[in-house]
Amino acid sequence: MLDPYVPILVMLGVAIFVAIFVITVSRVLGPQRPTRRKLMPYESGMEPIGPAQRRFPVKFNLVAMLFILFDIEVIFLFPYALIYKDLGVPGLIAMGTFFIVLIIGMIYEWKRGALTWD
Amino acid sequence: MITLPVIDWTIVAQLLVVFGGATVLLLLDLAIPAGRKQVTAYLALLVVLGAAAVGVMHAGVSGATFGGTLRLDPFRTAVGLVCLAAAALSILLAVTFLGRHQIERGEFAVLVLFGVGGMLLLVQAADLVVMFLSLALLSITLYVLAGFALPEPRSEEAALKYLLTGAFATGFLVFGIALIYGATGSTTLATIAAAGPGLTGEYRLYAAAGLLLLVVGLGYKASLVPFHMWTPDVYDGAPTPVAAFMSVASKAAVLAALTHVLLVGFGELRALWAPILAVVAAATLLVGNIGALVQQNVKRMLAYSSIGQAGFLLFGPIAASDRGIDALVFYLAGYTAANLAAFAVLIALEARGETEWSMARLSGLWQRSPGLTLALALALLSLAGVPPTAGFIAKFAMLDAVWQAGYPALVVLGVVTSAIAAAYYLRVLLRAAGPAETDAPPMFGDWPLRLGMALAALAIVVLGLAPGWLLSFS
Repeated sequence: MLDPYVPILVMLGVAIFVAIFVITVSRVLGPQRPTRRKLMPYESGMEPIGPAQRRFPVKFNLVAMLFILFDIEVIFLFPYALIYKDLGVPGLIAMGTFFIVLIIGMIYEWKRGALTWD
Repeated sequence: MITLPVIDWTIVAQLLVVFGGATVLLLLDLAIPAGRKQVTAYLALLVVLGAAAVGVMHAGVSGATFGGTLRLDPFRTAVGLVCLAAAALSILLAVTFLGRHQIERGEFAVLVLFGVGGMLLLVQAADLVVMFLSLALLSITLYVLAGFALPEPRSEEAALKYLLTGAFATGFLVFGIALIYGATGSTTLATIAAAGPGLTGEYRLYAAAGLLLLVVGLGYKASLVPFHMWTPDVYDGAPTPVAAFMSVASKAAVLAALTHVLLVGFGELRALWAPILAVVAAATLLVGNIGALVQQNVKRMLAYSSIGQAGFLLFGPIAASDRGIDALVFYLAGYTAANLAAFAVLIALEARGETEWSMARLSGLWQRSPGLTLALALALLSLAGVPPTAGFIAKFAMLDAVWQAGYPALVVLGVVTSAIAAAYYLRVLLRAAGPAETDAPPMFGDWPLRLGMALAALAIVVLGLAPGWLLSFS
């Protein structure tokens, strides 16, 4: 039963091998003349300021959650747009219900102040 | 033209009432000012009663809709009504408790409604994906409810523990569903059952492994040993009405789902799962009851006792007979009434800021309030299985069912652990009858709490004295 998955295993092995091989070869054969600039983390050519792991407000979590919610809504819209005519009125009612539920959620968040930053 | 499946509205009516009511209430609650959130709770109570009325109206209905993923039959209706009753009583117990603890937010009632909607969906589900979805819905609401006493660190700790272990258990459930789908090509229980006899070799192995993973995922929610570790911590930290709600309602819904998975989906593999579940039931009975014996905290004792009761509930699917199903419904009803009555007594004695629920606080209760002591006595005697309470008939019916199914060892174990259970329940009652040891805690006796407690106590007595009308439903 698992036979069809053997190629995936082979692929995985090849990928790991190639990665290790390339890194090892370039380390062994390549010339190494480090300078301060070369050792700096790459930041589009700018001088990096501060550590990469910055603290950010926890409120961002809510915004991110809302974004995912509406992102998913859009994903559902695309297939619906394609078969919109075939589904007819029942489809419109079903999708309408879906949107109303999402909108109610948004009204709730709005009124509870989830969208105000301070 | 794509043809959409025809929807049988009688089957989904109850779900529509609960979810529609919860959604509308979420919006209405925005307009209710902060001091008057009790209104939200009473409106939620109306929604629950409406859903229960729909359930009673459709008592005899059997059928399926949404392509066979949702089903209704007398067993499902009965378990659904138990969940709704638990939700209604929990709201009654919570109404004034929340105000007293300064956590009166309208979301409480809305979350209970969404939670009980998830439970009804779980009970009605005849498809593993719908089961997963409804389990997620009820879990998420319970995570939030467990942390509802927000600035209280114990409540937050309980919510976090529940969330982390719950997410872990859900992983098992999803993996189990994936394996079953891989083996049988379907997630609908009826199709899985039909594919069962044709499975050979590895496919049979995958289906069996998937089933066991499902049992892990569902067993976590029902707090079966060895997936019970979260139970005492969460019940202890969560606000008491929430602990009451989740100890009864989610257990009822999950047990119904487990029964459907085992008997409908995998009836053919019974020779595999029945011995495993028998061992799990035995372990659950022993760990729950012996664990409860050593507790000094009443809430933790009730948590361990609810683990022990889950062992008894598991007898229903193990018996795999009509007798077992009848006994399961009766046990769920009796356990719900008794556990809610016991928690109601705790709620009546819990002032704000009380975090440790030591047993000493119950001492001398008889002298101060015979009524509360009577409710506590009824609840604990029913949990212990003493006649003439509901618990006695429930335990008797369960033991009879597993005896008929050919598990004499489980019957002996059930009787022995009931005796152990009687010891710790009676210890609490002796404290209550004895002299006061500490400063008497304040008592609260507002009418919603009294009503909830009285209804639960009444149910214990009525089910104990006239069990016929519920035992003969199928």
